[in-house]
Amino acid sequence: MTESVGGVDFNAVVSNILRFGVLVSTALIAAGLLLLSVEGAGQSLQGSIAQIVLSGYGRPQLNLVTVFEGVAAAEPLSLIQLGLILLLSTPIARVVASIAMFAAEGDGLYVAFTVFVLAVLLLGIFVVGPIEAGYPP
Amino acid sequence: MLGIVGYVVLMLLVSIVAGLVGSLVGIGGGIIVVPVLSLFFGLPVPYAIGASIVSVIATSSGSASAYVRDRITNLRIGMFLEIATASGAVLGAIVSLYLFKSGLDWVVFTVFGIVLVMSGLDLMRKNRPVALDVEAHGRSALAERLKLKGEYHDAAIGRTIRYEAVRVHFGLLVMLCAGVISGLLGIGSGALKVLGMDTMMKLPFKVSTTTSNFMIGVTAAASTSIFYIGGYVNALVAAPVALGVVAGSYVGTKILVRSRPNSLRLVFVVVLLVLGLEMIQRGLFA
Repeated sequence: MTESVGGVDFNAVVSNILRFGVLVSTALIAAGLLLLSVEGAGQSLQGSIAQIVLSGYGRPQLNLVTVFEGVAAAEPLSLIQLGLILLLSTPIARVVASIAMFAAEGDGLYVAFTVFVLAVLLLGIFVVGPIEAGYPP
Repeated sequence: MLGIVGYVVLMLLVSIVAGLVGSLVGIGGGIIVVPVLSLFFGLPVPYAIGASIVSVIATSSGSASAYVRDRITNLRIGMFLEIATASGAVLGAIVSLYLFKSGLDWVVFTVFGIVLVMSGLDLMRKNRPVALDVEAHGRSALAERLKLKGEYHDAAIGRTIRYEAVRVHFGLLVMLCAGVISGLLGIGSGALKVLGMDTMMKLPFKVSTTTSNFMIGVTAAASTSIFYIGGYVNALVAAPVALGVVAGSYVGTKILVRSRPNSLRLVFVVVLLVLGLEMIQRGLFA
């Protein structure tokens, strides 16, 4: 079974997506943590880690514009959030690349399987997630 | 009180140890991180799961990239089985958050405890033989039609091994369960995925482990997005946990390439059993 179609080595493409995604996202998360420690951000917050978390500090930011604005301003939490979003997107990007791979091989059955997996991932993001967050789309 | 930086450093250290020891004995870090965060740091379960499952994506994707390049991972079998694992993970996340919101998180504690104890017992007798030829298992018409077969070059024995899946339905069913457990508890459930592939579908052990690892990323992403958007992936917790587990397991894979120290494994078995009983106790009697 060869995965090379039209001169494109899809194993290498998939492998690179995974490696690149993990490298960049962990670098962003590390930078955010380092900055957080150096700045001593949130030091005014008192209590246990559970109390701090439940107070809403560090909660996931859903608005991508806000995240990028925070990153531009070198906000530690925004750097971490961008890293987390990128990490979460890495397997999704890998699924999209797999659709292209099977399409290039002319394997309609596997294009359908992979599109189904992508649909399940998008269902989580656009339907289940918002319902759990308490604001239906 | 430690202050934010103190807590972050403490969670980072715990996660490094979890990732390091986990990779040394061949188990994910998430299974240690969730009980530690919920039992000792007092975090509500979904927040512990939200942090753990992010680290699962990172470690799986990191090591999967190497195996995909080496062409041991079977992308077709992986993508096909992800239909079941991703669906299961969405289901598991829904159930997990439903239980938490209904004040039934004792169920999650108890199930987690049972999974910990079972993992501990499984690890105790883990000494799998190297799978050789798989031609002897008969043919499956469904596997033939779905092209669930392949070959890889085994450098250790210096030959190419051909294989083909059997009992595809059972494999899918095990994968659905693995997905539900992954989404419910925030762990990779790699052991169950490997069981489905090598025991059920009779795939070579190397193909099973690398393809399982490949699938864990997508499985985890399916539930992570729900936990993230739901508000449970807190940056303050998820960042040190993801970074620590990744760093720890990276160092672990560098330390030893082949052999797995038995004494360390026994220590880890005890840790798993103690944490498991503690989780069950917390679930049923606290």
